[in-house]
Amino acid sequence: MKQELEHFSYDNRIVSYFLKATILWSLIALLVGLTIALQLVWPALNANTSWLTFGRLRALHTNGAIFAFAGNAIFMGVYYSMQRLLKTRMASDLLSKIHFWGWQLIIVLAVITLPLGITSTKEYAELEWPIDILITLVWVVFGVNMIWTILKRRERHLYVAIWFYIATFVTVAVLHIFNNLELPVSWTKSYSVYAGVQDALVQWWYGHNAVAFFLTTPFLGLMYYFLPKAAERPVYSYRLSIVHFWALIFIYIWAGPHHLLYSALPDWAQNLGTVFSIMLIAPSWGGMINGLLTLRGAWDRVRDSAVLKFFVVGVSAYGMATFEGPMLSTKWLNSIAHFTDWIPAHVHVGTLGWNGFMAFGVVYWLLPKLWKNGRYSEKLANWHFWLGTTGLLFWVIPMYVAGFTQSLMWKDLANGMLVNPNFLDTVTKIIPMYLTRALGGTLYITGIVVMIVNVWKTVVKGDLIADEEASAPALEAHKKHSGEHWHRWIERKPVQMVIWSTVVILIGGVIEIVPTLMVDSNVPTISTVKPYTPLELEGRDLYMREACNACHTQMIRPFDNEVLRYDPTHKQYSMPGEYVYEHPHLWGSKRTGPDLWRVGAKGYSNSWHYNHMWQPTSMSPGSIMPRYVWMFTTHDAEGNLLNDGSLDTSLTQTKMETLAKLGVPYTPEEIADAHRARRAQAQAIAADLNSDPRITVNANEEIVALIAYLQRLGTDVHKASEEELNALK
Amino acid sequence: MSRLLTFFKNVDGWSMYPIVALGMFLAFFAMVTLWALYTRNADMDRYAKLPLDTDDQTPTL
Repeated sequence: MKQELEHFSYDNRIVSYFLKATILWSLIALLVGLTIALQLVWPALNANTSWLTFGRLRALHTNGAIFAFAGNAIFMGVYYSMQRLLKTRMASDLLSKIHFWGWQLIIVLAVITLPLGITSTKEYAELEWPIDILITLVWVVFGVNMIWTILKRRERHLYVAIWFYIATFVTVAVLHIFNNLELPVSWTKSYSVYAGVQDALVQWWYGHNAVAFFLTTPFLGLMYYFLPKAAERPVYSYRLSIVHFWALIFIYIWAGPHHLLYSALPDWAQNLGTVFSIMLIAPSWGGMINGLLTLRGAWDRVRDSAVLKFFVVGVSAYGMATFEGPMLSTKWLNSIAHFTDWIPAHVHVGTLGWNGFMAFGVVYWLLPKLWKNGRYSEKLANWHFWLGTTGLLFWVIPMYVAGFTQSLMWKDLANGMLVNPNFLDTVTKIIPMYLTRALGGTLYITGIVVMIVNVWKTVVKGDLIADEEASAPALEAHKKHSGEHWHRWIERKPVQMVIWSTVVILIGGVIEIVPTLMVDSNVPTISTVKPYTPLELEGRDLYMREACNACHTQMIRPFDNEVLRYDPTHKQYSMPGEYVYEHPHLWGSKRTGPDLWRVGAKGYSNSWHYNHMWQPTSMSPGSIMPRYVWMFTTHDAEGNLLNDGSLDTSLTQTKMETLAKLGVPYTPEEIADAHRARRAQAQAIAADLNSDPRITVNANEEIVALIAYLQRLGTDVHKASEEELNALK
Repeated sequence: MSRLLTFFKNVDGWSMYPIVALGMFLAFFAMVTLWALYTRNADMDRYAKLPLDTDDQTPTL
């Protein structure tokens, strides 16, 4: 019996909004990336301007690439594919619009706040708490609209792409909320509720799974929809896609600790991260193979189709990155690659190759579907493809070389001594690689400009099909038939799918994180480790504002070369108990400059730090560190104020009170005495600095607080007795 | 609540939990794989073709 058709329309306007936003933000996010890449060759390109400086812009680049470029690309594909797969219009046009404009507002707020130094410093989660709340609200709007749409669908079976979308929504919500638990100090400042080792574990549980559930699962959903569409044939194995989905979401959530190998994280958690990371190869490659084999019998069309070219290279890049990732999670390879430029190379194979190329493929595929006469120039699209591919290669290959070079030079020992004791030697060696990387970025961005021209010319000559007419039979009540499998039940009931996906992803998180948060023996304390003084605390906040942790780690791993280089007097690697008052941890993930965790114990004078921050090359010729002149009060020749580098101390006591609530043992007396204590310490440092005839400094300048902080680093643990430290090992 | 917190802070053997989780995963993985292998080909073929479905008459299950 033929069923009666229901007539409705698909909302293409929201898809076109996200498409345009994808293109716009891809250009902006990558231009910011190119700017900071060039600053690593010519640091003066920051024009001595705080908001143009590497540390602050790096967070803008990563957030822009992940949440603005990839984020809008995800929503573009999800809004298009979901309506078709469910044979229904999005449940609420209003919610779709709130989602779109809310998401753009978040990005604009990031563009404003991150260059101003308003940051929580947690990688890929740098936005401060009011924006975090806004993200939560907008994400809920997206989720409600998605689940509501699923509930009013006309197709019983939820196609596997929808499963990936559901898992994305659920997991990102969980990760975002738990990683961003922080106690506000003001509207623009907060402290993570977690400290040290626990903060690091939660951060990288989030950080790794931001890659997994923001840059992987939604793009796999897009792959499962758009690749069959472009190839005009069904996915190679639907069976494989089911195993792929459940195995991937179960395993991925465990793998975060591989970012913390050889760190102060308990060994059992590190090993867990390694084991599950290696297991990840199976589902990841299952997905890649499923994607590529979908093109069986259609490979000849790849030659003529830019869309398929983008998809093939995108899926191949996914395969490369998901093989490399597990390999980097083994301790032997991690000991070589971690903190080097190998890691950005690995990351950019994923973002530029997998996310970027999948997004571009979807954009080109959508153009003729969304716009009447929307036939774009295939020739220009091919130019984009080759510029992008060449750019990707020029980006990553020099960084692999740089990574190996750094690692070999850092680790080079002869007769128990460092062959390259000056860290700077390992930096100047790789400047040519940084320059080549910038060339790769330029090529990739040129490809994007070509795409913008192509899209622009297509859009202006075509008319948007804002409401695309469609029809489908109404959803019939389900009739259970014999032999039906239990999984059928989950597949057709979206709420159950949401619940079970949540359960699956929570298992890993709970087992890994709860013990580290709860069990005291995981973080043995050290009696001599004390909270920072009020001035040092302000200095630490300046360190965070400038995102010094983007280039300097604070984690000395248990390798001979690291203890020799970073703690030559005591040869002591970092221990969990040293970080118990670090809200948040500042371990960092990349050593463009040396580790600073024991820099206060290395004997640098106050004036060395002062001169180094004013003009790094005066102390370290050849340094690529930018000048931080805005932390100094400066005047012109006539005595007119050029820059007021005064330290804002209006929140010092509030900061101490907030930290006290989080367990940092500041007494009420210490908090009441904070300003006097701060002034006294600042005046002592200023007096020492002013004893150098070339220096004139006021005690209230920011640079004084920063020096106080740097000089404190590493000094506490050196006061501990050998017996206590040996007991902790 | 405080008794529960005390229990968690002092409990031993947390490092065994990942082994339990690994076992859980293997059981779960085996279940999903078996399901995928034993599902009817006709159902799989229809699901796989959903993205290509432009026929408005497609019946629902």
